[in-house]
Amino acid sequence: MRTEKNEFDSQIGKILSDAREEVPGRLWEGVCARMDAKASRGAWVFTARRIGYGLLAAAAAVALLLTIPGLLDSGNNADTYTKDYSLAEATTSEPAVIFSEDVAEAASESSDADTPVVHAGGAQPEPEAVQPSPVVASVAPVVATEAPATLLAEAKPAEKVVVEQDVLSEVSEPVAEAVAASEPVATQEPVAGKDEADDESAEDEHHFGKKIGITIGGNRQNNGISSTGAPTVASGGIRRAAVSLPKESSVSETDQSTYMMPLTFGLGVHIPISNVIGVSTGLSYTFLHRNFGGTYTRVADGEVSRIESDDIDHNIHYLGVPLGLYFTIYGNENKVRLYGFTSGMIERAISNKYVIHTPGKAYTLTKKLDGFQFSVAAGFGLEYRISNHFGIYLDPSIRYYFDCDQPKSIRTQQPWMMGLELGVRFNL
Amino acid sequence: MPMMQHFLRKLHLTNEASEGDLIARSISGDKSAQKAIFDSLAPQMLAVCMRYMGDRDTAEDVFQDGFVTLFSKLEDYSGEGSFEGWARKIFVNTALMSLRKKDALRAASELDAAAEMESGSPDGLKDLGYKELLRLVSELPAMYRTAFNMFAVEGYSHKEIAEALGITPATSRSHVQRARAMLQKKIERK
Repeated sequence: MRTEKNEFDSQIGKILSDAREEVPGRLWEGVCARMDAKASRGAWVFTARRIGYGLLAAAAAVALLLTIPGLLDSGNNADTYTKDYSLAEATTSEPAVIFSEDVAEAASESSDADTPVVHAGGAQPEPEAVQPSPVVASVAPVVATEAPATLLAEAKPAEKVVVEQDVLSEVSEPVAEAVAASEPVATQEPVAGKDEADDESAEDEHHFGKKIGITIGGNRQNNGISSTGAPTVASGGIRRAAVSLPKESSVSETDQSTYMMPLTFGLGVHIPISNVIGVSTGLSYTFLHRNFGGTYTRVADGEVSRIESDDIDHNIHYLGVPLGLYFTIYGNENKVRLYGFTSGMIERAISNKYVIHTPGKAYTLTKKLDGFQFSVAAGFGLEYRISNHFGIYLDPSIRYYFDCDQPKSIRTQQPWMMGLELGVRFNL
Repeated sequence: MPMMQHFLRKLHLTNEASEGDLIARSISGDKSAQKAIFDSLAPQMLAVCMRYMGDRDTAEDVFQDGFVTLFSKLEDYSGEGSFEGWARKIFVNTALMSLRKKDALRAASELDAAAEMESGSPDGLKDLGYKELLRLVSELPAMYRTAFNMFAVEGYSHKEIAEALGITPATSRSHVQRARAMLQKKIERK
C-alpha cells in the first residue's frame, strides 16, 4: 500500500497519524443518543417496510376487486328516511302527488283538500275480462269529471310518466299525439346528474295530462282489448291509457350545481428502478360534493311522491389505485426531494348519495354506481423524507378525467382539472 | 458469530483478552464496555475526522456517526490486524460518505497547476506542530485533502483511493501531488 511516498509525505504522515484530539464528554452522550435512535429507527424501518409491502399488496387487491363486477358496489338503490324534525308537519305539509287506486274518491276528496292529489295505484282489474297490466295507473271509471285532468295538469313540471306502448297503440288519436309529443323516456326514472330538459318535458307532460283527461272522457273506440291483444284497463267502453310509475327513487336537477373542490388523500408506495426513476402505486381516496336544487321522486311502499328542494347535497366517494412513473429532479439524497411524474388512475365509486333537505326533514337516497372512472395526470411533486423509508408528499398536478358515464360532478363538467394530493409514501 | 468465535479462540494474551472481552461485551450491549472502547479510541479517531472534514463541527458529527457504525459492525472484526487500524478504516469510510453527501468531492479546480513538486521537505516542517499542520491541511480543497490524507497518512494506494473516490489512479496521483505542492508552499511561507 505504501508506494511512491517521499520524505515529505512520510513526515507529514507521522505527525498526523500520531495526533490526538481532546474529546469533550458530550460526544459520548451524543454517540449513545445516536445508537438509541438507530435502534428505534431500525424497528421503525422494519415496521415501515412491512407497511409498505402491505400497502402494495392492498393496492393490488383493490385493483383486482375493482375489476370484479358486483364487488365494491356503491350501495343498493335505497331510500332512507334520515331526519324528521316534526312528524306532525310531515303528514300534512308535503306537496305531493300520490297515486292510489281510487281516483273518484280521491277526486272528491281533493276538491276540499289543501293539497291537490291524484290517486292512482297498482293494477286493479275490472270484474270482466280485463287482464291486469302489471304497471298500470288505473284511473277510476268516473273520469268524466274534470278533477283528474285538472290535477294531472297541475302536476309538478318535472314529473315524468311512462305509457306502455302496446296500450298506446290503441288509445285515441289525441292521446296518441300527446304521447308521441312527450319526451321519450324508457322505463327508468329520471337519472340523477344528467342534464334534464325539464322545461321541455314538463311542458309535454302538462299537455299530455290534459289530453288524458279529455280522451278518457270521450274515447269510445276500444272495448277494452287492444289490437295486439294486450289488455288495456277499461270500463264501460272507456279506454284509459296505462301509465308506468317509476320503480325507483330518483333525483332530478332543476337548478345549477355548486361544486366543492375535490378532496383527495393517498397512501403510496414508491419502488425505485434507478437513482432517478421509480414507479409508484397505492390507494387514493377522493371525495366529491356538489349542491343543487331539484326534485326528489320518492318511491316507497307503493307510493310515489315528489319533493322539491333547493338544497340537495350529492356526495360521491371514490377509491382508486394510481400507477405512476416518477423521475427525480433534485435532492435524491436529501431530506426534501423534488420530482416530476406522470400517472394513470382507475377509480370506483364506493358511495353515491343524495341528501335532500326540506324544512323539518331530510332524506338520503343511495344510488348504485357501476363502472370505473379512468384518469391520467402529470405534474411535479415535493416529498419530505421523515426517514429513508417514509415521507409525506404533496403532488400538484393536472389531471384529465375520461368520460366514463359517471354521475354529474365537477369531473364531468370540467374533465381537465388541477389537483392537489397530499399523502404518505413508503419507499421500498 | 463464527468470526467472533474464531477471534476469541486466538486470544491468549492478557491485554488482547481484555480487548476481546470488551468487544464481546460491547456486542451484547454492555454500555460500560462500549464506553471503555470509546475512551481508548476517541482521541485518535477525532483527529482522523478533523483531518478529513476540515472543521470542528463537521468532524464531531462524523466522529459520532463513526462510533455508531463501529459498534454496529463489531461482530465483523475478525481479529486480523490491530483493532485501532480496523476502527480507523471505519472512520475514514464514514468521513468519505459524509463528504459525498455534501457533494464536496467534486473535481478540484486547477489550482497551482504549475506548482513545482518538491521532493524534499521544507525546512519549516520540523518546527510545525500537529495543530498548525492540521490547520494547513484543512485549508486544502476537499478532494486534494482527502486524497493526500488517504495516501500519506492512511497509506492507501492510488488504486484504492481511486476506487473509494470514484476517480482514476492517475487523477489520484495528480491530486496527491497538488496537495503536496500546496502544503509545501504554505509551510515555506511560515
